[in-house]
Amino acid sequence: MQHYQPYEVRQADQLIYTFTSRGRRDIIKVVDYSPIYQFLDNPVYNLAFGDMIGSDNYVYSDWVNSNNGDMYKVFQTVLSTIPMFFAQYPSAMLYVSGVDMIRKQLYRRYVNQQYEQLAESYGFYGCYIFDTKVEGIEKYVVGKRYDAIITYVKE
Amino acid sequence: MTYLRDMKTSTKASGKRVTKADLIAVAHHAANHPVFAERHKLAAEQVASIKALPPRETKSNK
Repeated sequence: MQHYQPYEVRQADQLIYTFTSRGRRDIIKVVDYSPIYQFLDNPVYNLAFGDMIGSDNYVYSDWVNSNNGDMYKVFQTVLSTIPMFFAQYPSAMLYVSGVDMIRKQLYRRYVNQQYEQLAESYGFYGCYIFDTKVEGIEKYVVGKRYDAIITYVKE
Repeated sequence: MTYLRDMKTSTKASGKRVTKADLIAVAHHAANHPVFAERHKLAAEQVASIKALPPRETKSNK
């Protein structure tokens, strides 16, 4: 199997997916899509991702590196939730920014490698961020070092 | 970081398997959790600072 089975829970306008990373140990992962802004008729959702790191008190972290030996499968699982998200919010735009340089690079690398195929169905913007502001945004150009990516379904 | 790793749920070690019910319970709890809420707040600030979006592409207009 290329990815784990995610389970979906919808709360108001928020979509949450959870799945279990089964590597050296079982770790519950959370993918959280929440609306953060509105551009005319297009809501913008943010994708947040993290681990549950406490079993009883529900503590989460989006910084922890699991080292669970299944990073590719976990990443594929997160990606597998994106079409499910757009199936429910086809007019939405999705904002994706890794919490650190490694994750930013991971997201960019994926888009760069798959760009031709992805661009058949999805549009992309690349964003440059300084501090808490987007200092530049443009149509995505493969190879550029963007800090964040915005994607949407092409009509 | 070591502290976080030590705290991490190790259900294999304890012999307890994660069930679908566990995953759904976690999903409900994760909604509005401060860790994610902080991320969304920061992202909202960043997106709100965008002055104008480039034109959207369509399938016929690559």
